[in-house]
Amino acid sequence: MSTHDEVGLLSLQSLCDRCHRESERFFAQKEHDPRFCYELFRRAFVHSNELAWHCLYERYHKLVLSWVMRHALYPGLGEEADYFMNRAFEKVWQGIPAENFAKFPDLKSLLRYLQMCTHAVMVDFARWKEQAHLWDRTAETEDGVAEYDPFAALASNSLPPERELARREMQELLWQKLQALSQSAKEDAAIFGYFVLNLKPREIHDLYPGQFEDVRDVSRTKDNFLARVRRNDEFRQFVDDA
Amino acid sequence: MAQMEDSLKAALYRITCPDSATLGNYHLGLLGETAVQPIANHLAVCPLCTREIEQLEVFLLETAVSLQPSTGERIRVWIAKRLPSGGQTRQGLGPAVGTPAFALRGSSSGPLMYEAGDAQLSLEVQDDPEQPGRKVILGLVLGIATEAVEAKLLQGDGVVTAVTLDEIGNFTFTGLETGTYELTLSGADVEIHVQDLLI
Repeated sequence: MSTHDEVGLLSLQSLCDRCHRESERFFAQKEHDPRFCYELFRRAFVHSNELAWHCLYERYHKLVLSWVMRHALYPGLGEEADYFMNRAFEKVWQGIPAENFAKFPDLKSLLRYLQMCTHAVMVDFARWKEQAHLWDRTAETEDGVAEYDPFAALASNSLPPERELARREMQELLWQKLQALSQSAKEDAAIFGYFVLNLKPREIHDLYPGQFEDVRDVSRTKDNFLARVRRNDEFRQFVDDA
Repeated sequence: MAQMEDSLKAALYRITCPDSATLGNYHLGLLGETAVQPIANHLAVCPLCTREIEQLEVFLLETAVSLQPSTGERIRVWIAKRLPSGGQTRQGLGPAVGTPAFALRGSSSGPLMYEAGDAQLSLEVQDDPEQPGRKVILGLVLGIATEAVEAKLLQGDGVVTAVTLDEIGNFTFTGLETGTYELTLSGADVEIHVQDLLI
């Protein structure tokens, strides 16, 4: 029996203990042996062993916390580092089903995945904040008098999960309907840049070189498109049904 | 018109963008073949997702987990195998040689003999003379360097007690309740496990 096989036979407590000591050596930049922590990951993901998972959390939560605080987005997100650290562990847990564990041949690849998940939860949060800001803007009008807004039904920041899913489906349907009303590649580019990417006309012009005559052509294309959308009976019916 | 425009922006913001974990999996090469091309197509037209990938790349570099220096299997892990009672090991650690230095008179049974890789291990379980109803383990390890080797007794998910071996490989645990334990002997580059140790 090879020594690698024997690591697989160790009790969870022994593994946890040795993983801890090898991690200490790793953080002290000393020679270390990654097999024990890797075996813990394997038991956590392949055997859904909650104690192994708990041990890994104990070993790595400070490391993840340090990653969060070093991320370029962190200062602007306005949320505690602990929040992102816990979301990162949840994302890792959800992201590696047992059948996919073989894609991670060593500890380094698993820690790299943990890093990626840390980044992902922070980017998700940044996206959510940006969209929330856009929703907030829809509630503001220059003179305080609300205009007629056919999409108001889609604007809500705090829906329960089941409504959130329905809203997402409705938004995807809305995007399909709008795309169907586009009559040219230029209109495709304008509405994608404006509504999906929330870019400024100058940025859209630069993103699609040669597509628009000038920056004003971007706004003109979008305005013409919207005017046609408002006149479209089928689209109005869709919005009324929504 | 302006409000309709704002509502469309809010409703459709990033509607075609893959979620950030999918982008991350793409970057790490973890996506299946069929999932890769749509992401690549999207990145070609989406400066926001492209920027997020660039941020990820920088983040991975800045927080790079270097597992160097590592020689991989630095530690020899041995699961101890029980030898027949009174059996001779290859270095001759039998009852006569292997009786721990601190062996007490009136031992209830002979020592338990184990072999683990290059090491031989003798364990003698006795009644604790100072704590009625409790047990003592007298241990002796031969065949490995015993400097800075820690003997640890585990039960359930916790460490019951731990001691350091003396210079000739002796160790003693006292005041133990009867039960099943795991004994580990941990040195800088060796780890010996005696599992299901019933005392």
